[in-house]
Amino acid sequence: MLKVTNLAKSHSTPQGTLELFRGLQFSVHSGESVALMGESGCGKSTLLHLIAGLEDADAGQILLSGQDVTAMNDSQRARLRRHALGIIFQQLNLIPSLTVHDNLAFQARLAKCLQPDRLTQLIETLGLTELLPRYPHQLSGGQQQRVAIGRALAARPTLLLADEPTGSLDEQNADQVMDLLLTLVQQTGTSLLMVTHSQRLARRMDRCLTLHQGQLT
Amino acid sequence: MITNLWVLHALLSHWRRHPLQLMTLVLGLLSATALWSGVQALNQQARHSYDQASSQLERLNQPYLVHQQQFWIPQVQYIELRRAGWPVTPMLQEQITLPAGQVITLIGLDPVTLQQSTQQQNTFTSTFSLSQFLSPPWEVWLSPASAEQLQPLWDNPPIQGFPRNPEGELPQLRINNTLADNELITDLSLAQHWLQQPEQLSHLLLLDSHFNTPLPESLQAELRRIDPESDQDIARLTDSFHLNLSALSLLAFLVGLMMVYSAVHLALTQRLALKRILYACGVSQVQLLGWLMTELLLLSSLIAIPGLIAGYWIAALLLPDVSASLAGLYGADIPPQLQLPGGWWHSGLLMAVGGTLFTALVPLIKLLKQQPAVQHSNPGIPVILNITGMLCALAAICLALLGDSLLSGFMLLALIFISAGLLLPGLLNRLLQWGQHYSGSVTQLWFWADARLQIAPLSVALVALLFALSTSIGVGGMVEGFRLTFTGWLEQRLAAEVYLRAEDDEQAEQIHHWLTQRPEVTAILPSGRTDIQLNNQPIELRGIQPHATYSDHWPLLAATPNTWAQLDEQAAVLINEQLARQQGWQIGDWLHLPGSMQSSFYLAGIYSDYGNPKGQILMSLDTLEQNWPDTQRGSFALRVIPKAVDPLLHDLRLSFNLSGTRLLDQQAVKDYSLRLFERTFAATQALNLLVLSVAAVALFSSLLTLSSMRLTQVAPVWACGVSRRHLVGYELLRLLLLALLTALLAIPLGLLISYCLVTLINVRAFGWALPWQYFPLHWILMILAALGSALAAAALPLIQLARYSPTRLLQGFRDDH
Repeated sequence: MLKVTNLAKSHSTPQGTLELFRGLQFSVHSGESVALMGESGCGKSTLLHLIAGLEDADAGQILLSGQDVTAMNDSQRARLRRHALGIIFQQLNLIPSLTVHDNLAFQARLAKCLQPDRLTQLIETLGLTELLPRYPHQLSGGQQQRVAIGRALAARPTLLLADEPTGSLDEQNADQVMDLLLTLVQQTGTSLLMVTHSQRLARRMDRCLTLHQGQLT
Repeated sequence: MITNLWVLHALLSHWRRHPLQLMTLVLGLLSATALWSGVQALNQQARHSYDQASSQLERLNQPYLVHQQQFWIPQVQYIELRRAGWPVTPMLQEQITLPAGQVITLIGLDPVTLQQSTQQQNTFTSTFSLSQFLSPPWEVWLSPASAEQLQPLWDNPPIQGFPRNPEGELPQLRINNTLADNELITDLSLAQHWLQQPEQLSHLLLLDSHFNTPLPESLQAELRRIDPESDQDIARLTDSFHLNLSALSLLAFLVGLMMVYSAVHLALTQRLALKRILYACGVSQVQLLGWLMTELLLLSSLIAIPGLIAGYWIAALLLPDVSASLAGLYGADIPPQLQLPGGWWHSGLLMAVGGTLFTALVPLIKLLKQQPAVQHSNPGIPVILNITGMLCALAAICLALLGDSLLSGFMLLALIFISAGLLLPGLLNRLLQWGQHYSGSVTQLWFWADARLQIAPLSVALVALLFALSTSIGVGGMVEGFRLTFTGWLEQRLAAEVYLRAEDDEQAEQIHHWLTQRPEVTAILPSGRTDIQLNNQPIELRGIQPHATYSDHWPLLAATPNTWAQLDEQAAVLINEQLARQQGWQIGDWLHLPGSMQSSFYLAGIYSDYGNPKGQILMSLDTLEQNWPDTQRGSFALRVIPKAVDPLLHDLRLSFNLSGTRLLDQQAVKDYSLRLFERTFAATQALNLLVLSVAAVALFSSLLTLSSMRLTQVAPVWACGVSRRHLVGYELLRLLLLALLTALLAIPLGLLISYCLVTLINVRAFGWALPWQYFPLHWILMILAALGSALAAAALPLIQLARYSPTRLLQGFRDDH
């Protein structure tokens, strides 16, 4: 489903070019959940951004359902994100001008694949029924992340990319959010690639990859 | 102290990190200070001139001669005039500043020639000794209050200069109760010594006000005569003119301050984190407030100085038009060079600093109350804004119904502006909510919802744009309406082909006789005039010879069925609109005029008389001469076969040596009047344009400042699959929509302002009403200007957004800047 081949990425810094990784290779199968771990600054988030087409790779190939993300232009990548991907960041995932309901439906409506029954089910599962008319700034951090999960899954993506989705939450909230995320991923058969620092969370996934000195182990 | 300086250093470092915010603050305060102080410079310059022209000269109530270009008059010119038989006396009048800072007017005169004037004899008392006044150590005459002020200087005089005479002695102080405060009267030679103007004069006072001989040819280009009636009450008459200018500059000042508010508000809310750190490090609330105030004081003082310099430059640029207007409308004489007292600099600095601190008040209170940083994420508009706006609108309605003064008119305009400013965000929110309700796709939904989100952070800039556009529509509509009315009125009023004014009665008779011999002259219409005082107001009486030229063309606002016949046969009178409003007179009233033989005059008509600051009464020439025998004659309106006008003018000039201003054809009078009209409104139009420019800059700086904050709002949309190209397009459309809606709302507001200007302000300020007219083409231009301003303002932030690297956009998920 996701196949990464010979991927390389470096950043320019005032001290010179910083190589994050080179010749990176791995794959994620359909319905599989994979944890991506590694020390801070090793390039985990950047790898997620490359897969989502949010950043450009220096070299290599990223095949998502057979489509080469690295060969796409900005509009094609936008279309890919709209239809095939769900992305959850650590914070500020929501569109501040829209209500919870409109945020939840946003990507699915953008991809023209909104199924009202499925959305209602998601809302109930995520416990968001009471919060639908509220705006993002009226929600707690945990509530915001639940909405972000709902929005990402409402569009029925083939791959869900999560960048420390519980990083800004306390332990109890983090557990609740992760439970929901994993349950929904299993129910929908969506693949999951999640960046995390938590061994405990990583153990709940099918597989764990560690990025160390530019190589995956 | 060093610790405190580190606090200031930490606070100031914010501006280094946010240069755009600093630029906004600088631009806002600079333009506010420049526009306000520029107009105040014009007003002060004019008022200084009125003060100079008044005082002793005004009280003498005599005509006088001054230099054409406000220079000194060489004493030889005075001698030349005396030799030519002119009853003139020399004067030197100038303000001097004493070491203690008081400003007094020094008047040097020649008592020998002046004593021919009866008025001046009254000024001095029987204790006056000519020899003591004229010879060393000389005398200084002054009021008791002035004597008290100057006594210390006499007790401890400097080694040389004022108040010592050329021999180093002190002149004697002579106190007189009839003299005005802050005036010193002394012998001309001593005044010339003190002012270091040997052989120079400022005025030549005419001792006989009926002396009408033209100036000798050699002095015609050098000197000009000023009659006291044209100078009297200039300050009062021009008050409205200056008030109008001040109102417009105050609006410009407020628009500039809106930019300052935006910058200060944002800077303070963005430093909440810094504030928490400083607390944690042991800085108290009071200390923090003190340092924030110090920072604002420092910045505003530094910015105010170039602002004042720019204000001086604006004043110098507008001065020629303003002085031409004041000269044309009121006969006021404003020197072409700016001479500003120190007070102007101080008050400008105070306004800039005070304005900045005032705008910072609310953000400072918010900061101290530890409110969280503004999230700009609630699309709702605070209800308090709408309620306050409604209350202001209600107060405006009450004032419109109850107020009757010029000040209440301006207060009404201020209330209209305030309520419009307060209601604008709510109105925009309603309109966008309506759009959101009917949006079809999800991107449309986001488009409208996000536009609502933008209202709060852009509201100050949008209100500035609303003010600028509505002022332009209001003032522009008033000026354009006035132009049309004035042009039509001129066409009717100036029906005769030629207007001439003889130099004296003898020449008038010669000209009349000469004209009767010319077959191309179909009618000779003599006129006369005199002035009276009615309830302490100067009123001009004009006499005309009734003729079809008047009855067919003269524009009347109200009239009896047979006005002109009554004027001719029953000694009835017509009055101008301003006099009718001033005195509350109506058609059919019987008027009692001071100094007339006849007991009362029947009021048969009211006519419009635009541009005339005085009341005027029109009657037949016979009636005028019978009742006021001192009527000045010698003016003629001539009906001439059109094609014979030019040859006739040529022959008249050749035969009677009439100067340009004494002989004019219809077109020349119209051209002069229209030129004066254009110059009168040139300053207004220029200020208008500047206000619009400031509003555009306010919008630009708001967008630029907010552009980084927009990242957190657009990044999730981008991550969901909307391309950057589309994001930029939506951003542009959204801003254009906000500008368009603001411009559309500015139209009714502008019309309301225009209505208030023509029906209330003009009537109360100048005494004449204008028909209310509207100009849709101007609205379209304003809408285009609003869209153009929005486009220009959005260009840089949008280019930034289009060029943001993905890494920069991804920062939208990491912090809130």
